[in-house]
Amino acid sequence: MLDRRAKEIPLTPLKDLLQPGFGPPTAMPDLRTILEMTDEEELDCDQTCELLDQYVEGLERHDNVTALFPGVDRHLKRGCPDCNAELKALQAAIEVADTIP
Amino acid sequence: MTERDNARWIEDLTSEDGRRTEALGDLRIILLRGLVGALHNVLQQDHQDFAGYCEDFVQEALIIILRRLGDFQGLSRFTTWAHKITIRVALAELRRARWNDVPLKDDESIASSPDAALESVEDHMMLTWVQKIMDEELTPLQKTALTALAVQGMSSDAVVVKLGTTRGALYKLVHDARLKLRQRLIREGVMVDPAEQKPKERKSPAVPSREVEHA
Repeated sequence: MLDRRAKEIPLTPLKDLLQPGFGPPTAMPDLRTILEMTDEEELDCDQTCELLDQYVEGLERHDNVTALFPGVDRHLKRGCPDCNAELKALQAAIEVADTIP
Repeated sequence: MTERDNARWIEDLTSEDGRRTEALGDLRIILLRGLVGALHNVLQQDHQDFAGYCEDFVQEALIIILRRLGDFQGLSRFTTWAHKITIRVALAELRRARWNDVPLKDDESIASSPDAALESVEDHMMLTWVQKIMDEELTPLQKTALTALAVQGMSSDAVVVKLGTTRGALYKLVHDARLKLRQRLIREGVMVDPAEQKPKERKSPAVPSREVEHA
């Protein structure tokens, strides 16, 4: 890789490395469910992401995350594809990193 | 690799001697391994440029992490917090790459969504009706944004770029649209007003929320 860069060989476009499954979520909640879970006050994606580390560790400890992080929980259950993907990736990252000797 | 608790990470990363270099090196390794695991089903790991992209994402994340060290409140493990930032950097970039060439559609029907499971005539009638009230209640921009997110399944990172807005502004735009649609469904008697639900159906959490401190 470093050799390629030293020779200024351009990287393959990132899009060409994507797995075919990376795209629209395969199981989005239907619009009615999204609307039923719409609240006057909600956490947006940035606010949800700010709490995602605590939420993930709460899941690890089997805490009652629905009560501890109700806004995060509803945001995820409304099916936000970006935040759900970040949750899944974060869980995978921690799992792998925890196995480092 | 040195074992560090949260305080030690902060102390080492803010020191002005060799501890900082060593801590940065350790953190880079931890984040890189975590990211490779996180992108397992997202990128082709056997591609010659996979490692290079991961390295780029981690370097960008390390810059953000060092800039935001003062924001870390110690409410999670430091490494979890750092992984979170790295994941966000990587996935945001990947989502933009995935959706860069896909145009926004403002004329796509909800019923035409491949995700719309039309298992019955009632489902189809419901979607047709929702489409009608979307046309009546929402602004063109709200329809475009909601269609991109809920019908096309597009990432909000990509929609933000295409609409030339911010994540916060996009979220508000779509949140307002969802509230309008929900209020219309309640007026039409299709949906129950949560405010009128029986108290027992609206349980208060027994555990105090930890979100308050972030409000």
